[in-house]
Amino acid sequence: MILPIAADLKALPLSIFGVVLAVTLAITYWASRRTSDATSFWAAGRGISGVQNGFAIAGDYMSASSFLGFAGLIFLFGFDAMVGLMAAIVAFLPVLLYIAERMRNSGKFTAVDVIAYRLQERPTRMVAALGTLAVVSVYLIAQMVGAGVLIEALTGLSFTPSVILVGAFMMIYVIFGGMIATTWVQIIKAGLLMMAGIVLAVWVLAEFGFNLSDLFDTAASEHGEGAAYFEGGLQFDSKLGLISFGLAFLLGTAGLPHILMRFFTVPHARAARGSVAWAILLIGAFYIIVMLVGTGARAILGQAGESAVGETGNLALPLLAEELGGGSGSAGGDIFLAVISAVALATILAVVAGLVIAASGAVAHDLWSNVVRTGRDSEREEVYVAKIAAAVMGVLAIGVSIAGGSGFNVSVLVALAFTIASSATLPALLFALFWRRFNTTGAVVGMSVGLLASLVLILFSVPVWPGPDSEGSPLGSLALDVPAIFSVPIGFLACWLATLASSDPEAERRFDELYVRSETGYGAEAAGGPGAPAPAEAPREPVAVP
Amino acid sequence: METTQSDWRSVERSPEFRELVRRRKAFLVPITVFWVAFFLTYLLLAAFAPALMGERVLGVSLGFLLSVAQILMTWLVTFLYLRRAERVFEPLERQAANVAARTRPSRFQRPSADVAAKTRPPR
Repeated sequence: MILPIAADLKALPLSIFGVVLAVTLAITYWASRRTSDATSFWAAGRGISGVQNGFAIAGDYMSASSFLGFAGLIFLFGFDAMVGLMAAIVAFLPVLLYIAERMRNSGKFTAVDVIAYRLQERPTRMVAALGTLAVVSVYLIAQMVGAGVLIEALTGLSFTPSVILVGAFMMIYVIFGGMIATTWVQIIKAGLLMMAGIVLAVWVLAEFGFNLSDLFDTAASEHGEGAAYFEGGLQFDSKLGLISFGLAFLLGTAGLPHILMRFFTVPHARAARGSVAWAILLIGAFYIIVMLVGTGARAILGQAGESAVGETGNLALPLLAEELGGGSGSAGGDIFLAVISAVALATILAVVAGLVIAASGAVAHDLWSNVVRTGRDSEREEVYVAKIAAAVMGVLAIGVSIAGGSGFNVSVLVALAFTIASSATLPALLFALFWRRFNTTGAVVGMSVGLLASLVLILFSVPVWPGPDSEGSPLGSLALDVPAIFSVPIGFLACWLATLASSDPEAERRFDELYVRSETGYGAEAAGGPGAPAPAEAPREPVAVP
Repeated sequence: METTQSDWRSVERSPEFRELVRRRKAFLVPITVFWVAFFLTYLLLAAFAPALMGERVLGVSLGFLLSVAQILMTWLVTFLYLRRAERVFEPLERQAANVAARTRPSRFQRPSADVAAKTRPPR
């Protein structure tokens, strides 16, 4: 008798899953032979091209919550969800204009390198790495729980083995293949996602004879609220709730450690800039697809589909695929559903691998190497610690996800991750790069306050505070789903006030160095293929500008 | 292996570096005002003018059209920045970096004071 791991296994999606997993394992094997030192482990030897990195950023950023989550939210709530999606793409403008190139120019492996550059390293790195770990672990658990629920629904494999499967593969990619394997899993996933999206969108449009007016009419008439489906106001209790939701995505993206880390994998600042542009092109196109497909799901599945897609709407897209393919039980329906499920699996794997490698950077590079060992460890030791950290992080994430099970509210966890990123990491990063007066006290106090404010406000938020509509929450009617509109100003103010209350002439003097390097690319970490000598040992060209 | 701060300061005060920063600021400030205003207008309309968002224009809802406009705006700003960076900022970056290389090359070539080069033993 085999263990009761599944009630009703579906052979077709599982076998396509098998193909996806086999391909990623082959990539990992290939990558493992090119991963030796710290630069190859975290930065893929800085040998990823701009286009490749653009795909990888898209693959790193567009989680199952972009693909299935937002399509489902549009199916359920219409326009409100489109607004959140648009905030998530416009969010790349601050990354492009102020952060990407400066990050590549003045950091080594993590965003914390840049924050701590001219400040007192140990306290700054300690707090900043904690912020990274907070964002990454919350986001990781959100992805794992979402993955478990999704795989269970799509393949019949039950929650616990699904989570273990995802967790195990994520650890294999990172521990054996480092950033090179992670990058290629993300690139392939982005390609699959774009293709699946295009097929779905064209198919939906074809159903309506490529008549958008017809599609929109049908969608509105299939929603219980009718015209309000396209007017908004269905997802959030208050207008402030919608605005705060938009701000969290707009500002949180530029503080996500696993996205910022990707800029260290390219050879120079020009490639970093180009890679954001590619990511913006791909993600923007995909979000147009998501809006069309989400609306199409409403028009095609209709009110009758509401009970089947689940409370969060996550299954709207897979069900739409099944319906387009010919409906449940038909060969076409089964195949299309299986393909979309496999794309969803690839999506999840690529994102969780990116998160774990970011966590390993925070633990091994920021905390172990620079705080505990104050830079006296060897690179070998740093990579060794990184692999242990990735393993521990993976096991913890699996354990917590299984313990909490589907009791975790995935959208609350995602909201928390973006809130911390926008309120703790982003203010310190921007001030470190652009404000000479900024100092260690400002960074430590600011990031701590930003982190605490995010946690406390989430505790008081609508979905967390007990009682219908959070009655009795200390914030009263100001309790929101996503509290970024309060926590972001708190984070910036705390950085600013704590800086003004203290003085650190050394940090101000060293601003010149960071400023010149971040703006010009002078002395940036050299490019080199996998296995190339570590930049610090390599003879440097006087000018490392492309 | 100490890098003297006066070296970086003199680069930071060099006309080449000041020109780079000035030109970049002259581009970034107005473009920032533009994209922030463009997005906030959309966000506020979405929150406070639901009936308008539901209006049908060209067969689709105005809210959907304005959403697509956000993506087009993002693509436009990206294109403008890439072009400006390539034509204007990159040559200025090179000039400023050359000043840095000239100032104290013997010291600058050693990556001493940065996080990148702690006193690691050679592997």
